[in-house]
Amino acid sequence: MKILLATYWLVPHVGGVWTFMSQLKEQLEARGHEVDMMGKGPDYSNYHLVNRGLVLSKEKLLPLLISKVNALQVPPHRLDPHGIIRTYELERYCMELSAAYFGLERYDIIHTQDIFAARALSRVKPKGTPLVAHLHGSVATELHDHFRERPQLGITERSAEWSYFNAIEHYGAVSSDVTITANEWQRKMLVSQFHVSERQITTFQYGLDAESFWRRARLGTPIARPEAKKVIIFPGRLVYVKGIHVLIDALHLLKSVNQDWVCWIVGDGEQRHELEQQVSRHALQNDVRFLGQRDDVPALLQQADIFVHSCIQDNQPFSVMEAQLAGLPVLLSSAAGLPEMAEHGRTGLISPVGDSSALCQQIRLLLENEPYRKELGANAKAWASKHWSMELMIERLLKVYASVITKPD
Amino acid sequence: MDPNFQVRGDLYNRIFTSKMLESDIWVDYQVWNQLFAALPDDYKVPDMTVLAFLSTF
Repeated sequence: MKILLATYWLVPHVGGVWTFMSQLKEQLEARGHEVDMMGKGPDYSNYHLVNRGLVLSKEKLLPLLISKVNALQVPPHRLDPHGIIRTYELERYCMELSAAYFGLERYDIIHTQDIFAARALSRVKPKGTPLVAHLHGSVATELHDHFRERPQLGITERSAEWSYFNAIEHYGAVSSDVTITANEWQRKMLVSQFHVSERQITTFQYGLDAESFWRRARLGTPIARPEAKKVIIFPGRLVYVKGIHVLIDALHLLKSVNQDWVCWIVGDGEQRHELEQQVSRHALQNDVRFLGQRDDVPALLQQADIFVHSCIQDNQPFSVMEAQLAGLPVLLSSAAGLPEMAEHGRTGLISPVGDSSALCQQIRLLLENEPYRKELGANAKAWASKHWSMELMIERLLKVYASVITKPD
Repeated sequence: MDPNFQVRGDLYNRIFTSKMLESDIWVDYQVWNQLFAALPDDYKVPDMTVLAFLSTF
């Protein structure tokens, strides 16, 4: 089969969607399929078919698109004073025209990776080409949270901008022949909040390339764990939704009752300076290390004792899957899809979102009870080896592809 | 043909809901011809299905 994997977001990119697309391409090609990848260029200036080296600059498209959209005044300025709807829509039309320019006739399947790409490619693909939409989280929910956290924008549930993200989430999810979610959290939300039919949705978990993980783990790391201390590890982008500030608050509480630990925060992002300041305010500079963006996370996990992911919202992060495969007990927040990733008390522990005190108690419990910590880690490893099977995910995906290719009109 | 050959954007009015003439907008002929030929007959900008909610405001 000739398959197009497409996203509205940047590619390449540090983040789960790119990891997913890259792994999928490798797995599908190993099974004899041809795979192209489309997305926004890393400097936002173009759309490109990454592996073919085809690029179309948005400059070729935007002047005419802008003049036509302005002439119609859709959306009217009074309903979109910050230009949020206009910006997202113009970007989507650029993606649509770029996809048409690159040509979609050659593909047997188009497999999009977000709501914008799903809606975009459904509008420009040949009528007979099946479209599978994989959704890796809820854009509408993230943007609604963003608006709630910034009341100065004046965007509320009664605003057009708010409704826009409900509309695009709905139309993105219903534009395909089949929509895939990685967990029940997103499936239920699509049905109850965004009025997507149950029949439209198929749910199965991601897979992890265990062989590649262990190969990378064997390469080792120059970072050594300190003697006589346990290592708490948090790998992830340093952005608000990852909830690293909750972990730092928990460590502040923990230090007054237990000093038998260090914490490694692995990753980079817009919140780094703010988080470093939080660490300084709590006098944790000698306890918390910011290791930056690194390629040796699998080896670092081998050095660690406890994995924490205290996020505010997340779908099904690879970092949790990798930590489980490495045999670490995982301490997760109850946000979004995370509770489906661990069984509380058997493969990890779950605490309420934003509750640094509960997280502190859980870290302390695992620091001070080595048999329990090791039991949770061993259980997590055994479960992860089966549950996050890449083979299983590809098998399920190929069944979805086969079902839409043979679907009668 | 000159790869930078420019034509009036109005040549592609079929895909736009606004038919207002935009005679001062010139576009790359090769790029727009190629993408225009690949678009479905019913393709329109803006996407009024997604933006239909605006009528409730």
